[in-house]
Amino acid sequence: MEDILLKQMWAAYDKKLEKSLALNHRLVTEIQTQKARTALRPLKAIKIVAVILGIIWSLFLSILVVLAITYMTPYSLFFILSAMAVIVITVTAIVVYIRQVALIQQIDNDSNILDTQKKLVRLQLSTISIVRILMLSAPFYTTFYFNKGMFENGTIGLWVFQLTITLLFSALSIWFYQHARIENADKRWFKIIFGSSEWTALTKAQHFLQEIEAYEKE
Amino acid sequence: MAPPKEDKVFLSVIEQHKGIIYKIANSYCHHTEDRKDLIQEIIFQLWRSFDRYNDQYKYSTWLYRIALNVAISFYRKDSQRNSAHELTADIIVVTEETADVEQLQLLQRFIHELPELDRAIMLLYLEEKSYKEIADILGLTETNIATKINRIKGKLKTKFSTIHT
Repeated sequence: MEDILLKQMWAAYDKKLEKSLALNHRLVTEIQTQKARTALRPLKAIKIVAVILGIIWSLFLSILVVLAITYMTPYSLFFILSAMAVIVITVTAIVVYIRQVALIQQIDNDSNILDTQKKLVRLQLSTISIVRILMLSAPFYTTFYFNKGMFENGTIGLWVFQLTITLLFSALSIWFYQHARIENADKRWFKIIFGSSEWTALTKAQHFLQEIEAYEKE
Repeated sequence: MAPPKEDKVFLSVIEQHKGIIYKIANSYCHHTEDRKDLIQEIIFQLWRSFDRYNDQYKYSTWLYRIALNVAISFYRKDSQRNSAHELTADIIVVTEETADVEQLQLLQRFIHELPELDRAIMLLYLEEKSYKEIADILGLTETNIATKINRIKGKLKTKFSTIHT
C-alpha cells in the first residue's frame, strides 16, 4: 500500500463524510448551557470533601490533645502521643490531597497530548500514596486508649495480647508503606488489597505512563 | 451564560470541523453508543475551553488537541467511565451511509488496531497536517514525529500486504 494511496483513500472518505454528516444545532446549543459541568468535577469534589473531613478530624483530635495536656497525668501521655501521631499523618495526607486538587486544576485538554495524558495518569497513580500514608496511622489506634486501669490492674495476658496487636499493626503498616507502590501492582497481594477493578485501572495507567515516557525518548 | 456572538462563532467552528470530530470519535470508538457519548464529550470540552482559545494557533490545532485528548482519555477509561450524559440523540448524524469501500474499511480497522498515541499521529498525518503541526499537537519534536510516521506507515503496509497475499 503506497503512501499516496493511503492519503487518497482518506481524502475520499473525508469528501463523503462532508456530504453525509449533519450537525444537530439544537443539541450543541443544549451543551453550551452546561458549561459548569466537567468530567473531572466529581473527582475534584470528592477530594475537597476529603480535605474538609481530614481538617475537621485533625482539629477535633487537636482539641482533645490540648485538653489532655491541660489535665495531664502520666497515663494520658499514651493518648497525647498517639493522637499527635495521627494528626501529623492526617495533615500529611491532607497536603497530598491538596496537591492532587491543584493537579486537577492544571489539567487542560487544550495542552499538548503527551503533557495532558501524563498529568491525568499521574493523578490516577497518586491515589495509592494517600492510602499508604493513612495506613501509617493504624498502630496509633491501638495505643491511644492505654490508661491507668490497664497499668494498675492489667493481667500479663492482656498486655501480651495488646502488645501483639500493636506490633502486628506496626509491622503491617510499615510493610504496606514500603511495598504498596505501583511497581508492585503485578503482585497478587496488591490485587487483593486494591480490588480487581482498581488494580486493573492502576496497572493500565502505569503501563500507559511507561508508554508515554518511552514515546518521548524514541 | 456566554454572549450570543460567542455561541454563534462556536457553532460555526463545530459546523466547519464536524468531520474531524466524527473521524476522531470513529477511530477511538467502534460502538455507536460509545461514539455518540464521545462526540458529546468532545463538543462539551471544546465549549468549556472556547473562551481560552489562543488565536496564535489555528482552530484546527486547538480542536485536534482537545478532541484527541478527550478521545484518548475516554478510550482509556473504557467501561469505567460514568455515563453523565443526558442527551440521547446524535449530535453529528450520518444522513447517508458512506460507501463501504473494502480498502477504506481495512484502513480504518488497521488504524483502530494501533496503540492510542500512534493512532493520533496517523490520523493527523492522513489529515495532511504538517510535521510541525503534528509535533505541536502531540508535544514531540518534528524529528521524532517523522520517525514515528515512517514506523507506523511501515506497520500499515505490512498489514495490507498480509491481507493481499
